[in-house]
Amino acid sequence: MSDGQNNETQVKKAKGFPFTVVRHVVQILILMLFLIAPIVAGWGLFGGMVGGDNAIATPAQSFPLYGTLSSSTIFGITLIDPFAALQTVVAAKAFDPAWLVGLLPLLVVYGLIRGRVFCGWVCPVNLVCEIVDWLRKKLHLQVQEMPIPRHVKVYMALGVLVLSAVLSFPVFEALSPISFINKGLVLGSLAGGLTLLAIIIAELFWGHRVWCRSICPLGGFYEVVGKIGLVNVHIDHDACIGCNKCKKACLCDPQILDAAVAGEDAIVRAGDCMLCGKCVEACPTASLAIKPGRPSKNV
Amino acid sequence: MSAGKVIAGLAAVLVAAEGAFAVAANGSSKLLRPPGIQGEADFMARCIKCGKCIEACPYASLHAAGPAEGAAAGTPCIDAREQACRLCKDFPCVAACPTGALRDVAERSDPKAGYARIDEEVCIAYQGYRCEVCYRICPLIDQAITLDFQAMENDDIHTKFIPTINKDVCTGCGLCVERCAVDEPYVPIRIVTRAEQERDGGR
Repeated sequence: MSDGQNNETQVKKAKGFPFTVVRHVVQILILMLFLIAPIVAGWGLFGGMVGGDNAIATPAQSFPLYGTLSSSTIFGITLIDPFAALQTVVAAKAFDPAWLVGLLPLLVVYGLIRGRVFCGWVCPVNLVCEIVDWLRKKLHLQVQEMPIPRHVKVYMALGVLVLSAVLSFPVFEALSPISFINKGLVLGSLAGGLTLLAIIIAELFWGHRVWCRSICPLGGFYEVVGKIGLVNVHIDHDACIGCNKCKKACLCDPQILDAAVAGEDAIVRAGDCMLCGKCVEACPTASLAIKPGRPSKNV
Repeated sequence: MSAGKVIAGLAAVLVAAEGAFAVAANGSSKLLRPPGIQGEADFMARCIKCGKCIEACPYASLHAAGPAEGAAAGTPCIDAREQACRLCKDFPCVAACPTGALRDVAERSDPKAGYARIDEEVCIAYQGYRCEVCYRICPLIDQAITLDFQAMENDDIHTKFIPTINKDVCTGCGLCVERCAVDEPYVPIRIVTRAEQERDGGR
């Protein structure tokens, strides 16, 4: 009892980095970053701009960053969503070295940090799902925890690539709920709206974070990339009291913390981890920390 | 528990319907594309709907296709009557494309987004009025559109100035459609898009 109280006071004192707040700020800032160019150019949002006889300022010229999450240009450098580029390669049955140049910066950055940092810190659908989490709690709705295994999303990614090859168009780009939010705001494009609606319904009434955890093909792609990430959730086995609060808080899959909490691994190794920091925040003994380093197993 | 399954099923049906519609609608679009399209199928295979061409167009002629276009929803297209392509000399839309869905244009005469077709029933030039709007506005005047002088029936003095499209030269920019002076009962000039050309063999 007194131990517990000590722990509680420790939480107050050792209140670490406010991951969730910072993450939400980053998610919103990144979403807004793409809106600056059309706003500065005077085009406004939702793609309503129609020109006249004379050339006008364009978003492309008005701000050093324009585009969307599928592809953007930053200070003249072209970035391409690596998964979108991959879909184009198989759909067009063609390859251009320029695509490699475009996708490499993102692949290297996400690869070096952790693939699903995209999911946790950039993707607007994650933000929507966290809002749905909050709403579900308000409405006292009970849903299942992991109705679909988390690795299914890797097969979804493979399926998208196979379908893109067969149907000869980048399939996920046509249905992506990320596009609906990001491109809806920038361009007024409504593609992917039904997917987002389906996600919100499923999240609210069926499975907790089922889209992000188990289905999203882009998440599946980044899960694979995430297997080599150099920034990880590290655990201090001496400090851990095995309370499992981290598992309850995990945005991905409680399972991915099992090995670390059981003392079998020094880090959360699964490619699913998106460094959201929920577990770090939930830990009452400050035994979890996000930091660089990827020690091999059983250290 | 079973309610959860029903919800899951409903969500799955929504996405499946969306996907099925995308697949079903794939290849049926008639959209007028920006310069640099090398064929509708080639374009659809490469376009990732990033919208950079739309944001690079100095005349704001491009917009994202609506959800009714299925797989083509979100791809760039032109409503020629509203705002046609101006065939910029440096093609900023093509330069902005990251995946080569738009590519390989150097001259203003290079794009092949389609070609204009005139409805002789409604075009007033065919009725003997001297209009010439499409001819005068054409960026490739005397190449893509020429004036064909025809004698007026039962009239020894007057001549018809018939605008004539050269399919092989016309870029499909749509400026003639935007400026056409007639809109009743309908605009007598339209662009037969690359997609229509390929699908219907030009009909």
